[in-house]
Amino acid sequence: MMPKARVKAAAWAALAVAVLAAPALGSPVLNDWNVRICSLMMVALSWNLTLNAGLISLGHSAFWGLGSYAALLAANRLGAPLPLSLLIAALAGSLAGMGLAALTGNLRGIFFAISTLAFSEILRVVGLMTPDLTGGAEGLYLTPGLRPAPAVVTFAVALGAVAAVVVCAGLALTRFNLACRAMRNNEDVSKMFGINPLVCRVQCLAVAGGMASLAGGLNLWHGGFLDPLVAFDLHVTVLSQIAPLLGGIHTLVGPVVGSVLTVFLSEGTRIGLGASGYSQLVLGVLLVVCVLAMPSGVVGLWRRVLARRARP
Amino acid sequence: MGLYVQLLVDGLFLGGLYTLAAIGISLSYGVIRIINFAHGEFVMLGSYAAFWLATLYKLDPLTSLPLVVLGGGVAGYLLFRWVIRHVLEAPHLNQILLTFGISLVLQNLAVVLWTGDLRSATSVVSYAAAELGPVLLTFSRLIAFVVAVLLVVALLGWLKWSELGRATRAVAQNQQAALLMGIPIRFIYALSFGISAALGAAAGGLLSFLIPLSPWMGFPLVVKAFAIVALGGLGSVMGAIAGAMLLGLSETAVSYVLPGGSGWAEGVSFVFLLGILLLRPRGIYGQALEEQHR
Amino acid sequence: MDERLQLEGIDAGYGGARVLEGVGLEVGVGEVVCLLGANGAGKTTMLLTIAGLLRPSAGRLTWAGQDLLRVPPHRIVEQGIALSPEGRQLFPNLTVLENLQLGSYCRHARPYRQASLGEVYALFPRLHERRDQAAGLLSGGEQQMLAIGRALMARPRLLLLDEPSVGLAPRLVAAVFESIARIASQGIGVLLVEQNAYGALAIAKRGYVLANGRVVTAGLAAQLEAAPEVQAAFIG
Repeated sequence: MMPKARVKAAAWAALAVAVLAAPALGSPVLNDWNVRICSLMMVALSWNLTLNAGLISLGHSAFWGLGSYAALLAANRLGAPLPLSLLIAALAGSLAGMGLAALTGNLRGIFFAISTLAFSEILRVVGLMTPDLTGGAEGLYLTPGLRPAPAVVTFAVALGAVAAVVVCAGLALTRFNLACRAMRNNEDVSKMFGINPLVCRVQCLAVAGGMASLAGGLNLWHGGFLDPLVAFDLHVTVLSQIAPLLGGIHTLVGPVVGSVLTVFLSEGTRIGLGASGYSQLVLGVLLVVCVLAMPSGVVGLWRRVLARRARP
Repeated sequence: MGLYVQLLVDGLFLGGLYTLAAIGISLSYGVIRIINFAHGEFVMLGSYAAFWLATLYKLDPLTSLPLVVLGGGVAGYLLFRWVIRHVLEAPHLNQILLTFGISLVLQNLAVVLWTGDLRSATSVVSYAAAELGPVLLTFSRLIAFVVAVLLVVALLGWLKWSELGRATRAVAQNQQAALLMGIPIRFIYALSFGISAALGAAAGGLLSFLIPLSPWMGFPLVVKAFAIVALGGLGSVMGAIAGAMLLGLSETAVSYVLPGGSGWAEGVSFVFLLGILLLRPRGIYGQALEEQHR
Repeated sequence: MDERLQLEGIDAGYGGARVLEGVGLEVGVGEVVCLLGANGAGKTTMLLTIAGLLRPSAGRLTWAGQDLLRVPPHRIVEQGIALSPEGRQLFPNLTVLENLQLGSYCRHARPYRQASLGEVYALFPRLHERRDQAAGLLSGGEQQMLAIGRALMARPRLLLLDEPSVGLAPRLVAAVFESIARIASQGIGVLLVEQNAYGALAIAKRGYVLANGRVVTAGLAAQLEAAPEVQAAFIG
């Protein structure tokens, strides 16, 4: 029998191959699910990364929207191809994340959370009020000739998600992760161990912002249309919280599992019940139930089951 | 000159409504130390209650206001007893996500039950107006302002002079000592949450004949309420009044002065919010309280 | 019913750390009993346990023959037991009068609020002079008077005082001890936790000495003054 760590690594690798190979089948329905799950996964991992440092973000739609617009403008105005536009999107997100971290300084808890919310809402208002840049309320289309085949876009999204998982797994092995966790437990004490919280926050939000913006950029190439209400929709923020919470916060596998479950549940109810309110209603109920009944998510539940079985 | 007086009057009226919408957040944070993201949904539900009472039973929104306030209070009280109570000792994250989730549930319950169509109610005062020199006084806004002021004054009076109001202030200041006085803290919590919801519903009832209603009307209001409360100092009721007036005046000024102003006016609260959090990260009264811990 | 507080075999602590081990104690009607001991001996823990703010893990706690262990803290004061806590724990932004009014929040004391106010003001005239001041602006001595006065507003039959003399000028300490003696003379039992052992023993009838969470000596105040444990703890 193989050691446990190898089984795990093999499972992750198999999953990655499956997700990356799926676009080759050319099924539009499969591609659509793949894009939804993988792009949510990136935002969820990004949100979980900020949470890991004790930062509660209510502004992930800001990164998502910025990334979408950066990719759109890079493509339409500069004629950038998909990879270049995505690079620009990720950079824009990283810069915004660093800016937000520098601005919010030592704000904690609820104060940091509300600042991020305000940040995202400001971007939405600015987007609506600068039609020359964003197309305003009427929105903007990606220049049609630029769009590659759906399978290519889907592959790109899948690649993005795999990259996000790899980055998160890699970060978990570094000293940076230790610093983040120390900060989460007690920022003042972490200073005594030579951790500079501000630097740590800037680094953390640079990675997280880039990741979420990349997801936004990828989604633009998938959808091809953008307006400020869609780009900075609070819904993205809500989904980016629900997925990790449902899966299990402060873990790597949690946001991944959670994203799959969240997309299945919300799309399932949307398709099953039709009317628009239901899928969001289900998400809301999910959020409430998770917080009250299983704050450590599916992964936490699973671990508890395993622990009980291990005990004679 | 006339323009400035008009601006002042309109800003003041808006500020009065904002006070009513925000003061509940201030109260529940001050006493329970929980930021309620679902507060805007109480406003929304209050509006819908007034709308349906007007549509189905021909009740004027001003007549039905006491009913709406009572309903909001009972709903808030029960919500606290059944749901919020469970996260009092939980980390911030759980508290934030829970009230966020409740907000999502109530919003979409409204979508499912009543669709996302815009609605509006009318009151007897809806179409009346008077011109005082260069200033146009819309009666509906005037009456809404007066009712809002009365409700806020009633709250302040209750806090100042009633036995329970005094106990509520005591709980906000020192829970352990309040417990020693024989004050049932959990009841005071639920009561404050109920009153906070009732005030939100009252704001909704008044808005029902002023602006179009939709299931999503609450959330932008809650962000504005945060801005107001941050401006005035978290947990300070008097501060909330000052913050609301400042926001009302600034929004009105922006929408009068800037081209395409009403769109930009929506952003004023966010800029205030971000600005106040960034400029006074240590100085905010509320942050000091935050670090004291419960 | 005989209004007597009885503790037997009480174990109590915070989280996993046990502070009190098998403690027993008794306070009778109108009796001043003092509880002495070094810092960390468990004196405050004892008072918090009696006031219901801390649940003991073992032992019996009865008041007037009634079990107190299942009574929630906000009901204990209804039973006639009031605590003036360590560090005074006033409501700093409320006025002196409001603090006192809150003292008589509990149901059995509320009808007598005016009378109680009169009695407290008679005991501490300074509080009457400063009744409209915010409590946070009072001097240390005045704050201590307010803390005791607030506890008296509940019309207790048993008063728990946690270090009422701490941080006060010697002249004020004497005044505070004198008022405690007067309170007891009205038939109110007093359990007094003190660092100032000789001041406390001077007005107490009996006393207990705690060390490391156990009662090491108990007896009449006059005997305790000479006891080697007291000498060792406070003089040596």
